[in-house]
Amino acid sequence: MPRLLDLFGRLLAASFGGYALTYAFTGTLALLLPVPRPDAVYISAMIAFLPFALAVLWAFAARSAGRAWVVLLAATAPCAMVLLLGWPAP
Amino acid sequence: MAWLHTWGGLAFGWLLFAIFLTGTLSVFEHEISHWMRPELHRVGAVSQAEAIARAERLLRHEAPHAAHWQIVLPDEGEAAAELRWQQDGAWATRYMDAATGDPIAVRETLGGHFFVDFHYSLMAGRTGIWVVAAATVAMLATLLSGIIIHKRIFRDFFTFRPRATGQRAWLDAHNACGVLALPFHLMITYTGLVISFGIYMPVGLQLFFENSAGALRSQVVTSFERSVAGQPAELLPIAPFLEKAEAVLGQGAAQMVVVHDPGDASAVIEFFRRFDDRIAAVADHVAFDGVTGAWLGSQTEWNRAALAWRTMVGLHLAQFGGDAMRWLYFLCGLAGTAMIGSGLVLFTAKRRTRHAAEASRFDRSVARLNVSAIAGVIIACVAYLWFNRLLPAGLPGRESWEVGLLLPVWLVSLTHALVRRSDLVWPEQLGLAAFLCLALPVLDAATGGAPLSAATPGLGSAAVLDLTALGCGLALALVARRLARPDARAVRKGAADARGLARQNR
Repeated sequence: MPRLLDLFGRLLAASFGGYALTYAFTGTLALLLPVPRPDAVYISAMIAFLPFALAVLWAFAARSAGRAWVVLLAATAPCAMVLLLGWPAP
Repeated sequence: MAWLHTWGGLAFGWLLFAIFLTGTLSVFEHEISHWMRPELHRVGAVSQAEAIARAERLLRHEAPHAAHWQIVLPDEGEAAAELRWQQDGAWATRYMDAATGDPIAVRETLGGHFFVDFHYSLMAGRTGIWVVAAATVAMLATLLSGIIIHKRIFRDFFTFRPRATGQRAWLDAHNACGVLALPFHLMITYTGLVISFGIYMPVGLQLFFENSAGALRSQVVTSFERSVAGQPAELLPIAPFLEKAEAVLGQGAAQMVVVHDPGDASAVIEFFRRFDDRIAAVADHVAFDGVTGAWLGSQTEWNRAALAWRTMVGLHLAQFGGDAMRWLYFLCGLAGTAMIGSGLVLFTAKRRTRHAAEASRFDRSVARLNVSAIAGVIIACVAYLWFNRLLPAGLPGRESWEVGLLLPVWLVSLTHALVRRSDLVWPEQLGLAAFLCLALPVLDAATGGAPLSAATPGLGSAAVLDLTALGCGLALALVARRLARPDARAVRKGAADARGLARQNR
């Protein structure tokens, strides 16, 4: 059973973990790039899917599902912080 | 990594095959649309100025109170003009013989646009776009993992052993299709994701533009439209503006004329440039006051980041490099489709060798589902063209019939694949696909297509489609024969072995 659980963990890391990382990374890039806002949106969007592909690869290359998640979360956390701080007030 | 490549490829391969095949056909969207509207095949060609004048007469008569008029001008690919107008929120379309100014009764059809629509949304709106995006990310990851697990990329350029054992030959075919066009596969997959970022990766829009793609667009595309004045005013004739527009856009470069609020004091006449001669899919435009004739402005310079994005879009749309470039895209697309198809077959071939003794229930199901995911989808794509010509031209709701009938066709293929004797499934389905392709030119000639002569513009493309179908049919027939053979050969070999054994025993 642990093998199936490991596989399930990797699948979740690749899909939801990958999306979360990409979303946070793209937002961070859009906030930090020293260019006008429209340019920031286009440039960050054009780069966005590279981290996604790498995250999917990493989810299956890591030694275990746990390790895959730890690294993904470690990469996502700082981006998510920047994104939260920069989010426009409602 | 190998695990990801094998199982990720299987999980998304069926969907990706259909996406790649319809995407490849989309390269010739306009040619397919033209073929599917045989009523337009005998239309004569005239100058753009004459076409505009006649379109204007028709629009003034048919839709004097519309909010917008659009005139898609005739070009080398299509001699008829396409007129659209928006009234009370709904758009109407009419085709016009630019030589006479008469409307043409054209069968209702989505044309080649169906393949485009299916390619990016599976005809399932936003949900479909998300599903395609997920499959595309899987494609990107599968491509990259394929490169990583592939240890001899360069040598495999030159390796193809069609006569080797089943698995080896399929692996060679898979590698050749994958490696030869690898830059294309990476480019088309990545740009495919970037096109619709506003739907599935909208974080930038949410941060700065209240999640509105329109708000971002208005920052980079200059709009010359004005709010409705509510005062009736006579619209100036449109055709004389063409020359002024061409001074900015280039001789013969206008592709579409749009009139906002015709008949109102706020009327604007706007000319849009074609973009099939540049990579970035952006349409330069020029606008004039529709009542006074005053020059309102033009946009030929673009925000550089937006231009970079539209360059990626243009690289994906494949309309920029003329016919030679589109054929290259078509062939690379076919290579990608073949890479996915052979990968799916390889999955079962490999497991058959590995677990030679007993093919599990799972393996047998995959092998059968492969047939409907590959041959069934090919059959459905060609059947779409057959329905286009066989359904009565005046059938109400014709457009939905043409598309809606494809699901039953595919379900028949699926049923056949599940219940038919396993060694006959591939040859029979690919044989049917081959027949449908090979007989397409006959269908075309019998149901209103123009004869094989390129005397007037647009006619050439219908003939080229027929010839391409012929070529694809021959290729499919060859594959069908090849797939019918190995088993026959094995049977003969088995019989020979048995004879040899009998002789020895004697």
